Amino acid sequence: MSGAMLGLAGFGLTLVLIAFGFPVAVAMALVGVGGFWWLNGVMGAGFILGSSPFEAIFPYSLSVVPLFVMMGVFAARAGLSRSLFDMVNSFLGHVRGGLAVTGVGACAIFGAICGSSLATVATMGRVAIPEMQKRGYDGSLSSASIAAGGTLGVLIPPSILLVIYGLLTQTSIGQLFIGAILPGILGALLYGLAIVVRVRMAPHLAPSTPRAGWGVRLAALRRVWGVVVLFALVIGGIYLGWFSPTEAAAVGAVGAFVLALLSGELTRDALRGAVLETAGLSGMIFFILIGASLFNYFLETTGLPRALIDGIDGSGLSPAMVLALIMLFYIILGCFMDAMSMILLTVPFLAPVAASLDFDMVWFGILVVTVAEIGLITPPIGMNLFVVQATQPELTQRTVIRGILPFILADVVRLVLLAAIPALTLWLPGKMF
Amino acid sequence: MNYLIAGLRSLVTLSAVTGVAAYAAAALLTVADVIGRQLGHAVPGVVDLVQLFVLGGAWLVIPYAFMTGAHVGVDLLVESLPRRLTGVMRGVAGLAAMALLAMMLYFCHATFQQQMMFGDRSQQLGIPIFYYWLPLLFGIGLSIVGVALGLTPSRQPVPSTEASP
Repeated sequence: MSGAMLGLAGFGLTLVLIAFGFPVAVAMALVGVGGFWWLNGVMGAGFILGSSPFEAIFPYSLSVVPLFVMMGVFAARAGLSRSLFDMVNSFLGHVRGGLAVTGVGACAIFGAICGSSLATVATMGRVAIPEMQKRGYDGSLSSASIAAGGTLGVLIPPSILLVIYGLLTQTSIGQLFIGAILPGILGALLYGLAIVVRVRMAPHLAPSTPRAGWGVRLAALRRVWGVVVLFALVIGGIYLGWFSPTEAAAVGAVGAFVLALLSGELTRDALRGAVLETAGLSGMIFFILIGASLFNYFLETTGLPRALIDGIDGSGLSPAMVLALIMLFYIILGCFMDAMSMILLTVPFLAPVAASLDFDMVWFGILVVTVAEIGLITPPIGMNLFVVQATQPELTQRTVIRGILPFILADVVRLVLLAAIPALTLWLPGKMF
Repeated sequence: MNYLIAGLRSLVTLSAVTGVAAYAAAALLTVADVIGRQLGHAVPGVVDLVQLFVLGGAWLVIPYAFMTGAHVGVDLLVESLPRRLTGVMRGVAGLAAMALLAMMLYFCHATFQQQMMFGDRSQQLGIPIFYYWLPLLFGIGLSIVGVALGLTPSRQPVPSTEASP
């Protein structure tokens, strides 16, 4: 068996282990160590086992991971969800379908601060869906808009997935963050458009609601100033060159803690919950990084990335066709795998292919994370579909899935736009200080 | 036996809290350095210290992620299997994770001893490498316990993580 075939077999075996319930990190680590052992003997396997747990976590640039996780967890516990929903609602609620658009907008802002798609859906679902139901909104529209809106947090910076992509491919995390801003806003706008079009076609889905006065709007804005300042400080600080991503993450973590403290929501139990949630999330991410590191040792030894590049060179496929195939591969894989596992498992051999085709790695990263987002709302295992249903047990899975198609179409349109017009991603990073 | 399990659960949880405290220390040091730089008083060796706190913190929280089953996986196929078979699959995955961690502990200990022999230190402050490896070795050992506890039915509900990124 050639090295590349062994690499492919290893990739397949990892998918099989994952399918049989092995945690992704453990599956990657086991196959990585086993494969490396097969190729280099016990001493080789011993070397990677003795160094990866240190080397995979030691780099200073990795400090952003737990600090952004802390920022997200504390921000999520600062009682922001209701205030954000009220603020966006005061501006957009009067449009027909406006409450659903409000849900998407609030999810985008909350997700940006919190950085977790599932936490965004769980939190905003509890606030927004009952409000929509109270105003006579259709269950499929209300639940699907929140499930879709929750995905925006995966892309809008600060995003843990972008950090991980940046670390895997040695791409500037600051540039990735800034590059994700316009695609994230585009995503929110397209979701809003999907809602408006759907409601135009079926007005009974969303009755109209009265317009809020400027007094109400200003009062709502005052309640969320802290979030706005924190977001502006973290992302603006990176853009203006005040902070490195690690420093921005530290400022964000401390800022979110102070906001949570000032909100009065940070009780002793809430603090304990936040600390343990940070522990669980960051522990999961770090161990998956170790698993990916072990898997990558094996993958590099097999020469699979090089063989893929040679195969594509010899195939005569244009770069656009290769990109389309990669995106299709991610969409299919995203139906069965979570975004982070998918990125950790595939980027090590697809990023060299992208680099060999002279793709800009910031642009490619945004495309990969965008397509990974789609996986969060595609049946059968789109995680957001399950989480949104869990927030409102009276909703059936069928109701949620019935409403999700327009949002998947909006995502596909966004993906095509981002692929066709790289400037949408690369214009802002080009203006960075 | 129940006391032992409860004690070990508390140890893993305490380790997690300590790990998050280490992250908080890293965040505060970084913020102090950012502010200090504006005033002409940067924190000396901030990179060394942040690396120490994050590496140590990471390995102190990993056992908790194992104990609470926070690691991401795909349950689609497993959930459709008969209950008994699902239990077997989870047990096999747990045993494989324990074997992997045991091998990791063995080889990391060897690397640690080698680095101690060479007297390795951090670049800026010259912190002995011992301080970086101690939480790592402790964390790997405790992770084996964490996996075992994750396979043990819990009498008290453990606060679960709410989401993944």
